[in-house]
Amino acid sequence: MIDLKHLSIAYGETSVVKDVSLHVPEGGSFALVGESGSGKSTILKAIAGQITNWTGRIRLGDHDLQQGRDPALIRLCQMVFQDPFGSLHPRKTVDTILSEPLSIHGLGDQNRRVLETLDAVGLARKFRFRLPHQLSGGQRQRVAIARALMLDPPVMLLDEPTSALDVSVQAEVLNLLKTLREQRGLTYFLVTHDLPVVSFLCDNLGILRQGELVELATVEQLKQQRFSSEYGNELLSKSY
Amino acid sequence: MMQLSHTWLLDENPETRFQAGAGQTYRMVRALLRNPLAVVGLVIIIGLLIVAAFAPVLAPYSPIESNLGARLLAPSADHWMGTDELGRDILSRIIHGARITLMIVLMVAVISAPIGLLVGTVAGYFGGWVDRVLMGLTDVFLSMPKLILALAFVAALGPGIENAVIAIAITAWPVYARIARAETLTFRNAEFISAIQMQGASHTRVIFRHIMPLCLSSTIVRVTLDMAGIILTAAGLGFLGLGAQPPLPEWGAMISSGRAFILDQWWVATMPGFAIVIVSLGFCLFGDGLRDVLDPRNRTR
Repeated sequence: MIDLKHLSIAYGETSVVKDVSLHVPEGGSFALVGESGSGKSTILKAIAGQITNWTGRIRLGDHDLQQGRDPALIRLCQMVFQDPFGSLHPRKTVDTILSEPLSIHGLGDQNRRVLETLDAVGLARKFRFRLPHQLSGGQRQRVAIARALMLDPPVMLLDEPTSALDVSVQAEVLNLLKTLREQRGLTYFLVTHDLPVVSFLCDNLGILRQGELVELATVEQLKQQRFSSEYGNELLSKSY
Repeated sequence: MMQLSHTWLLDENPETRFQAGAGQTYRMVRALLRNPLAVVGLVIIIGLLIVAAFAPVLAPYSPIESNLGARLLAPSADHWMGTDELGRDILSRIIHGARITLMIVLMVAVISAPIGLLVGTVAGYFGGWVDRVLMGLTDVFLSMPKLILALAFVAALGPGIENAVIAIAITAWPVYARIARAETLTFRNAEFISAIQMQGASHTRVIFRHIMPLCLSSTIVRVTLDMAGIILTAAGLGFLGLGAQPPLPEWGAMISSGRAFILDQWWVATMPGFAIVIVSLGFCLFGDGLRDVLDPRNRTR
């Protein structure tokens, strides 16, 4: 479903991502892990169309991505951002936030769709007309997930979706993401530095170091703590 | 059945968009009414509106007709604010002048605020050369003294209220553009803007639906605070004889004509001066109160 071939990204002279190739099958769940500054978020932004100066090939489904804002991208993938406090418009109610993508694409039956999606992400209907600042962090992240689901994209990009949340709320949101993937057959592309999240949510992972893909591993390897690369094991020893 | 009650408006879990909107408005009005100074400002503005609306009914005399037998009379039971050099009742002229003042203020606000908002948000959102061109233009207007620029425009366009309005509007918008741009820059890279772009929103949609509402409250506050300045500029133009033309009862022009008698007949210049001060103060106080209320984090209180 997601296919990166020789992806390289440079900001001016500095190359941030070097020749990364990887493949995520349909319905799969892939995590990109690495320390901060390793370029994992940059790859995510390139797939999301927020970075324009990449080279190589990004393929989503059977569509080759154009540089920049590709109109086909909108229906193919949506993103859940790291910070639920910054990713929701402060003056718009949950209802407006969720119906906006429907109005953009001229989809009708907004009332029913909004309520359905609220139910799907486990957010009580009474929150529908609240403003973001009247919601807790976990509820906001549910709204952000609901917004990403509104257009029914097959691929979800997750940018550290739980790192800004309390530990107790993290579990709820992770469970929700897991359930949604099973119910809807979504493909996840996750960026995180939190290895337990990876072992809970993903099938495969890639380890990134200074823009280079050091290792592609399965989640079994992670659970048995048996990576083949030295850096992977180093990362493991740091997290546990 | 739906009823317009206190509990219905303050329901934490509104059932419809209409109820949610009505509840929010109700909370805002309530917050505004809790601020005594804002209420004073609001009362003054409402007073101005009423006086302007019912000017012919409220004014005891004609504002234009002269009566040379009753020149320069001191304030008395017949003429509460005295009469001017042509025997016209000053109170009646001030009451009719409220219409002119209100019209100038509203016209300037309606013309300059949207222009400033649009220029500022577009510049802030696109950045790069769009920003440089638009802000360069803004700086050119901003660097010139307001009254002088307005004077130059009126001199070029010819004296009169309409031209005074245009001239003031041309000098007023750069401030709003600057504010809107500064505000836009603080969230143009925010994730909620990225999110809506990823959902396929056009630039126009992002600017009008997502960026402008966030800049709107600071612009509204600034406009209300500026209204005092607009009134003063209009009065200044009137005073210099470039605003409303005689015999229209514009407050600035009235002060100007009273200048000749300021030592012996103080009321001729003082009464319209009071009117200007009170109305300016009203807009200032109301604008201040509005700023406190329009901050969304205060809404739940």
